[in-house]
Amino acid sequence: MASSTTTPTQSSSSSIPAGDGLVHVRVLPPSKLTLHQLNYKYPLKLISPAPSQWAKSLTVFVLSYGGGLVSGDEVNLRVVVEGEGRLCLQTQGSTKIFKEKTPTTPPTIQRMTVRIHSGASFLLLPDPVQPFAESNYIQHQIFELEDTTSDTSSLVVLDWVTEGRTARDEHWSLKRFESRNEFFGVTNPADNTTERETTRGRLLLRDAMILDGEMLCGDETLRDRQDSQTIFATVVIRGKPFAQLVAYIKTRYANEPRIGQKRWDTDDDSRRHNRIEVEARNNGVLWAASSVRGFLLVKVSGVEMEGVKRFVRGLLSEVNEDGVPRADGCITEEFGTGMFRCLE
Amino acid sequence: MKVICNNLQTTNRISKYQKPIMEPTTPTADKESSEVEELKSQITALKSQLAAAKSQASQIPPLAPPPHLWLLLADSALPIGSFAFSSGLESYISHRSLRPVTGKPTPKMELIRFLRLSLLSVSTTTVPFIAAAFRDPSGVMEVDDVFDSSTTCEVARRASISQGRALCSVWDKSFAASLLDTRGCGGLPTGFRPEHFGPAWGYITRLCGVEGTDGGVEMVGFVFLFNHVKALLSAAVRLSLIGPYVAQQVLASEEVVGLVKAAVGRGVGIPVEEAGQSVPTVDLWQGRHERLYTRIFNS
Repeated sequence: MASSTTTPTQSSSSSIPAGDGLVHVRVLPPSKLTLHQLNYKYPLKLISPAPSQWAKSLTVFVLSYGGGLVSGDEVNLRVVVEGEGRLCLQTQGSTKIFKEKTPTTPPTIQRMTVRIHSGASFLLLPDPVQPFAESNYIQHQIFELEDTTSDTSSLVVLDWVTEGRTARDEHWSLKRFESRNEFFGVTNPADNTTERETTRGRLLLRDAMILDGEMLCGDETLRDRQDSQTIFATVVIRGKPFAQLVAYIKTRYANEPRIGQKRWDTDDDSRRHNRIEVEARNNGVLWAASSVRGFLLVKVSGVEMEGVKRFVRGLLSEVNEDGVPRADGCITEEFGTGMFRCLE
Repeated sequence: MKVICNNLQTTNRISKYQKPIMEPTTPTADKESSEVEELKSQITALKSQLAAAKSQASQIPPLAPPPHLWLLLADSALPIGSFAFSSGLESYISHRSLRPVTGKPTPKMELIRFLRLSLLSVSTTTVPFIAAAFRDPSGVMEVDDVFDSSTTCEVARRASISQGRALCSVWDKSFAASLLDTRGCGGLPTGFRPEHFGPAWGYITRLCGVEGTDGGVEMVGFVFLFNHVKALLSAAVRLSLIGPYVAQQVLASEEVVGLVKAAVGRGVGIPVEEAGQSVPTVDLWQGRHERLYTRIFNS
């Protein structure tokens, strides 16, 4: 798919409410990827580097002024990817969530609604969210898939959170953290020009994590409950273009060294297993994959950031046993190179 | 109710005691009329007390359904196969070598820890759906579908569906015949068959005749979580973490009752849309159950 530098109606428009943003990707005939619309208002900032001539996809960076969000900040981002469009949203550094100013200030809220048309593909590969001590954060991401029958509305979504500023001895010292990823079908795809909530169809999948830092469980704080895990990541994948990636991840999970009475690394049986799995486990990475209602969902946790990053990058770039990414991996094939910035 | 009865008795006692004091001071002619007056005022006082007691009584959740039903629902022999599942306990224990552990916890300590985490997790993931299905039995299929979309761990899904279907079969093959004969279903729709354990529990208990009150939903949640604890303890015994006596000791402990009550209180207050995993590690342990070298449970 060829595309050249685009000239979208790019503005920091004053007519939209604070924190609102819109990214609208359209493909012009014959197959030119364009940013039909790109609007945003403080504290949200969107940057789109001009794509190279042969770029397979558009990339938009979602930023916030000062690299973080304070309590009371509310971001509402709407994204539309039209048929044959390829959009990747990334960030430039972790999203820092600052502490709640006073107990009465509203939480920091980030909402995103993404409409993926038939034949469109969407990547969400941000850096992790980093909730500081005493922060109060709600993240709500909604993905509306127009074609779920032949699965041409496709996506790869990464959502991850770390324990905070370790340098300041913050370990899950947040007040509250909520992250919800909801995937919906669309009831009336013909009516796609309005993109009203009313056309949102059946709930296909909901993945929600709620961390309550104020509650004690027995005598265990949130930090104790997290079992020394410093980072939790969720990856959700769906759609035809990613069939090979899904199969790859399932195979890897099936080949995971078994956990048993015998130690896995001295166990003869497990010597035959992938070096990368052994390396991941040495790095304290735990993961599980499940196929649920047409989605592949991967949960990863780890004791240190780098191990999890390397693992997720390896998974998404379909590395072989020697850790070399597959040349025709799904994401590279569909979107081109440079999609894994947040995982490097 | 008891408290109110006591109050009534106390008032009677006081008035009896007061009468002899008043008698000598009043002339005999006025005595009768004053006594009548006094009795009248007593009657009105008692009447108002009765009215107050009645209105209070209507707020107290009715004691029905009889203990018979609760015993049925809490029965270990309820054939829904709960004891084939360890809700992640087996995997949690097997991951011991891969988990950084501080100190040297005894198997019992590890079990209690898991029990707490598991109850916390179930209270924010499943209990909201029990409450929703119980409160509105006619909407149970939608609640069931949302639960299906919200349960993202494959192993947990299998366990939930297996027990949910079994519970519906118990209703069809056993309870419906005996319970529906004696009393209708008060207009509740009896034709739905939710797949998942949580929504099925809320729905079937309602069909069984538990009143759709706040007290009812709490009791239904309590029995569900108490059964959950029993299943976990039974799994722990079979995993040789604890012996059967210690299991009963834990089950009888104040801590477990407190934990279950807290979990019910937390869970029934969460709307279905806001349910979610509050202990992310539980999802991982349970999901990784399939990766165990040997396993005796289905989850």
